[in-house]
Amino acid sequence: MSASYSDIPDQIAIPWPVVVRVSWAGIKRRFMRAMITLVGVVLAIAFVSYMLVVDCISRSLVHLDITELNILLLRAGVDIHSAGKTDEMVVLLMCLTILTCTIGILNSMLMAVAERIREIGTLKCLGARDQFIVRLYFIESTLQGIAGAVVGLVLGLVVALVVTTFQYGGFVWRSLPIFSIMGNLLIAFFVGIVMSVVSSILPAYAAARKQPIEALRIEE
Amino acid sequence: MDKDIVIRAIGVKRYYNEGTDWVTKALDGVTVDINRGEYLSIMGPSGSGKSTLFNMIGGIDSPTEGMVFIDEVDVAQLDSYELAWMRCHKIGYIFQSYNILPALTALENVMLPMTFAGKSPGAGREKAAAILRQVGLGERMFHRPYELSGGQQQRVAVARAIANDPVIVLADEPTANLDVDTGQEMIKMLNSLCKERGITVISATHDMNMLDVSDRIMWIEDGRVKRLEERSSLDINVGGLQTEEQEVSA
Repeated sequence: MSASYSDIPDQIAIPWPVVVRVSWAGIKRRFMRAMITLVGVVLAIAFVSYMLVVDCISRSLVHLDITELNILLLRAGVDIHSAGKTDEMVVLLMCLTILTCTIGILNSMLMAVAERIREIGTLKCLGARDQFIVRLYFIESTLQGIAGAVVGLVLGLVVALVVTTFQYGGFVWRSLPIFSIMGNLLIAFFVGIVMSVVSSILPAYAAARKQPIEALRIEE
Repeated sequence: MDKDIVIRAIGVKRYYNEGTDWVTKALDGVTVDINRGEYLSIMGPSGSGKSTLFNMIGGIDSPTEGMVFIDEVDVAQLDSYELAWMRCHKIGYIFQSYNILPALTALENVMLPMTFAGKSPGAGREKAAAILRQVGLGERMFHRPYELSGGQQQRVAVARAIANDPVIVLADEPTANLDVDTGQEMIKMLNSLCKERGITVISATHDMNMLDVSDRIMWIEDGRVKRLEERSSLDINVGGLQTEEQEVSA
């Protein structure tokens, strides 16, 4: 008696440029919400970059083995006898910072899903599949992660250079470990993006699993 | 199933559990056949179940009991992908509060369902522009929703609803947020979709002006069909409405 849709074509993939455009438009539209998420990434990555750059510079200065500089390093709390090793406390502190900021971003993204519930319902009524909604959130998070990570690492680098110059004077610029710093900044950059994407997994799936009726029933 | 019937609801019930003992019967056994190319208005007071029925026959909610066939397909048998495909290709939705995506222009809003249907961006753009010109928004296609009036936003919604040449257009209180003149324009637009394009238009409404263009009117009360009347049996007078009641056993 009833027909079926067994003959419908295979899944049609929505072109990535379309998803990127919709995501970007969404970020621009909810600029303040995006800024709150962005600040979380900026703070975390600025702190991680700062710690990594200061650690790089300190290790490089320890290797110079200049008495006057060693006194300055000891005054700054650097363990000159374990030069070449990254302080475990520093690593722990960075991990805690990343975790705290990830939870903050997750919270902000969940709020964003709640704010956009009607939009999700409308998209589903227009024929959007769950996959499209998930992609939308992942791309928004990645774009925010990239922007936040770039700003954060520039901020962290500048503060680290200013602070270390203030502490150790011209020694910093005499033996600046440029390649080591760049490598660490690259790590911080990826940490920022991963942090944003990971914290969007739960909100993205929560949004995609919403039934249109649940979404449309909500009054704005 | 009869070829002329595009939607068939059989004994549709929708119950909501409010705690352990309390059950709200939003729909309590609705049976109705809706013909292809028909303009059907669903009327009833708030809380009567018209929006619930509207959601059932639009494939955006599923019944607690009973069956809904849309274009010969039992909606309950569809998985999420098939449901998305059906919503994309078979049904166009028009909402009371327009639900135009605020981040996109009018043109992009109309293009979106075509993108979901797999149409190329070029072809989608061309068709979306043509539809927007048809609904009188040729000059406004690059405007965002906040730059458009309520009536214009609802016209974007109509353009978006017909973008994929659906079989059915579902309009939920399409004139509720519009002034009288704009509401009349909207009713004319929906009527022309029905009469000129042969699209089945189903509208949940409070607007008595809608009755004049409807082929049939379904009156819902307490989750049941109270009456199902042909337009011809209604005698619409200024300041009153007289009917030859045709009680329908629900």
